[in-house]
Amino acid sequence: MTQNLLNVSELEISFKTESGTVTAVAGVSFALQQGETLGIVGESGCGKSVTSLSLMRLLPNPPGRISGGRIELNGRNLLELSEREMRDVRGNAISMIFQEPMTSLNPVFTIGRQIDEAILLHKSVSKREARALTIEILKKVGIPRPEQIAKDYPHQLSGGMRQRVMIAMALVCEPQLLIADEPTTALDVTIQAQILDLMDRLKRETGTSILLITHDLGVVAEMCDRVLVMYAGQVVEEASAEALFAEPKHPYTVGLLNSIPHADRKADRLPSIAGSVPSLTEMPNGCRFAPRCPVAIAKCHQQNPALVQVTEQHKARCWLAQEGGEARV
Amino acid sequence: MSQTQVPVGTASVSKKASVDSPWRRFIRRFRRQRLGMVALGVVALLLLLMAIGPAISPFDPTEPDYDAVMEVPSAKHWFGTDDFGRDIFSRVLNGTRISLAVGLCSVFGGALIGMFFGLTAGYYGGKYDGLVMRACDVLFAFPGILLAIAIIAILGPGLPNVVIAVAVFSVPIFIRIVRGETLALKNKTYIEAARATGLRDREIIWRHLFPGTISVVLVYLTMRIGSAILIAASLSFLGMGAQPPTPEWGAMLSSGRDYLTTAPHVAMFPGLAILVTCLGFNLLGDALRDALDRKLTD
Amino acid sequence: MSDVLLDVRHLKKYFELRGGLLHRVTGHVKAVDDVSFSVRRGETFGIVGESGCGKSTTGRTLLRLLEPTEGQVVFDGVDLAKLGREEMRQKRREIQMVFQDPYASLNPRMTVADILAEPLRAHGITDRAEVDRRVSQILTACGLSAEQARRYPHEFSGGQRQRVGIARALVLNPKLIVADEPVSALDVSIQSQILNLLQDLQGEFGLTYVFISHDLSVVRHISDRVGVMYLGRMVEVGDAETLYNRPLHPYTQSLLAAVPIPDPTQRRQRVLLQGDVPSPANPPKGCAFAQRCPQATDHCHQVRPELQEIEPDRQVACHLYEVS
Repeated sequence: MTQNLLNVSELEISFKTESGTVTAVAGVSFALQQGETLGIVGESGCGKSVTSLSLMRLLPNPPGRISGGRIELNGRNLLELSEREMRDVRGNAISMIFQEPMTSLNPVFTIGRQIDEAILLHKSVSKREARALTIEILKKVGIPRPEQIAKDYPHQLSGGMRQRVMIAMALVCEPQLLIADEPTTALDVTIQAQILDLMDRLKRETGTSILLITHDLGVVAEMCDRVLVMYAGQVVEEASAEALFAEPKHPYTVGLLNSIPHADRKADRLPSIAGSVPSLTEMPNGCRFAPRCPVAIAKCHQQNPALVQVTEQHKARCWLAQEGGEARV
Repeated sequence: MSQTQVPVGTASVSKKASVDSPWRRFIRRFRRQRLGMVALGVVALLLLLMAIGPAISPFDPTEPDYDAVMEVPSAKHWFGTDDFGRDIFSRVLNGTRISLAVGLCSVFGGALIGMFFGLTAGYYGGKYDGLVMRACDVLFAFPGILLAIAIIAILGPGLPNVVIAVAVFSVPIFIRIVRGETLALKNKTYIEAARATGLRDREIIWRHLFPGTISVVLVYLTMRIGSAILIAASLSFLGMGAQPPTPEWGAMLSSGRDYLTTAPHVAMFPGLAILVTCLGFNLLGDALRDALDRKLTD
Repeated sequence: MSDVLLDVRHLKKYFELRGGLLHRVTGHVKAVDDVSFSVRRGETFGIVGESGCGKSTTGRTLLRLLEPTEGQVVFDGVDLAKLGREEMRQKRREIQMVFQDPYASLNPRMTVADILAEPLRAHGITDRAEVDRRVSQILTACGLSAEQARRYPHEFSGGQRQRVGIARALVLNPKLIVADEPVSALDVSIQSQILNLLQDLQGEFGLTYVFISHDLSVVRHISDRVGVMYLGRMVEVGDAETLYNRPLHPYTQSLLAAVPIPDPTQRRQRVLLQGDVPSPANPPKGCAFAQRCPQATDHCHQVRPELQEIEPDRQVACHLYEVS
């Protein structure tokens, strides 16, 4: 396990709300290897974004709090670091890009200045050298006329360009891990294709590991080596991308895959998952998916199964999958 | 059809029998604020005194008693007596009705007119909006008290005219805040949805925009009452409002001013009454603002 | 009764750009620039395109939530663009809209019952029993229970709110529904519920849909015919099956190529479209897509191609397919 870049074990995140403390993420564990792209998929409220924020220790506290578990980067538990040590990790060893690039860029400074500052913060270089690096990275992410664009303000750029700038800023210190939280959700599909292509290319060039948070299974299929499927604050399935799409083991994953319409073929009617995600205050006692599960048995309503290895490629949190039964509907 | 006929997602709807209405949430939030609850108590007490003050006052507030001039507070005269020997406690008690009536009438009047123009100007926009806003600018150009004095100068002194004067200078403030709220609400999709379903303009204003602005108006209204009372008292203090021997707090303060060194209680008690009243309404306004659901107004 | 329910001809919507000290009109944003299409009774016409292509503006102009600058919107034989205010208001009974954001499109201060009763009252149905009957009827049809009518929007999940939004559009029993990105704000599993609901309701009430979305997969799934928009113009219109299987316009081709396919074994080398959409305030003189088009010629940069019928039920605005 020592060669893993990132080891997350039994991560638990709770939130204070008006009606008491709720657990948004309950015992999430996963590992990420050097140069790997791991996808976390799930619907809103499943805890995927909260998980990614907590890796950077950027969870707004209060109301959020990491209430248990370990986050190890190269064997060092990030949760035990001081805020000062953590600042050195952020933007250096781990960096992050968000869904809406406009909110993560400061509107009153030029693009160039913001990237310069990211460099100066973590590298001992002169201002002139920093600017040279900035121009270089802007070129690398496919920004035309980088010298001029560096002098522009964020609002002067299109959404796709801004996301390129964000990626440039995230990669300028050559992080070992890039966390991308819905990086293309706000973008049009032709621009999304450009950005995904860029991320893929940069990953191969730099060997950076990517943690890709998304709700879009198409994006996962195009980008990821391995996938975690989250539901209601827990990982319900973990598998290689090929195995997950070819042979999903958890009924939730099955339902999710069935319910997406395809651009390349037409179905008369989409099979859908009945009901909606349980609220954090009213979690079912047994398996969290049991109330919506078309194949749930009595046991599912009483006991929440653990995430266990079911095949070489696959882990699933499902009684049926563990008993070798078919999770398919 | 079978799949969609089933009521879905009952899990996310709370299982409580009662409906979680915006009003209930407001009450829940308000009750958490201690200072707000105290302010509410003060305001409630003032309203009670407004109703029953004259009935429980121990002396006639206007009847002079030349045997008991400038007496210090005692068991008989709780707040002492003034230069005509009138019981200050009774006068303050009776003054509650006058001050509150002036404050409430002027502010409610101002708010009503302000809401009408604010809602219509914000909703219709265009030239009408421009006209209303320029009129506001004109009124805003005068400092509040000066405007009130100018109006009194035209209408003549007296309490009814004080009400009008204070109302007039409250109007532009309400127009501004209601118009601002309306502009923000107008862009909400549910307003567009209301238009799309075929609602008439007046129905949209009355059923969607008006309820949306009422919460902000309520906050300002409460806070304005405090300052309206203060302005009314100031006008009376300057001799342009209530005329002697009416037991108005500002007028009482004015007449007590001459004895500030020899008999401070004459001015002190009406002054305290003004202070407590203003503070009460302002704190209540603060608490209302904090209790208002930002999720609703945002 | 004509087969065509809605016929849009040369629809234009320009927004004025003002600037300078005197607030003069300095230019126009051509959000919708000469768009024509027709929708048949009982079908779903999908309008697809990227952000800023004018698809939402088109939808709103159809209902005159935005006033058209030019052109005709012939609905059931009547040109909506020519109706007076009150006549148009009356007409809204027959054309309703479903909005994207189920959170913003419901008034948080009103109960679901009030929200659904409002359109009825606005169109003169005020009898309490009748209103209640129709409200609970439409709620059931939309997969909610009648007793949920007492609740406020914030007590519902996103998918349920969208059901309320759909119920509001249907309560007046309209002929045409313009749905503007009705599932874009919803999670995948909820999205399919709503799409199925829309299909069921279409069968049950004989509805005609104009379905606007940026999501090519969703549009394919629900539409009988599809129009592709780019920079305020309709670049291709056709039967959904043929259009997706054999896209003709280079823009449609690259759009379809860019959609990620949820199958890791089908990972492919994409043909990436370069650059961004030009500004609609300053659109290119010729074909709007010419700057990014891999097959553009000089002619494309100079002359704007018209939408032409090149085979039955297939229209393309591209010089490549022009029959001279």
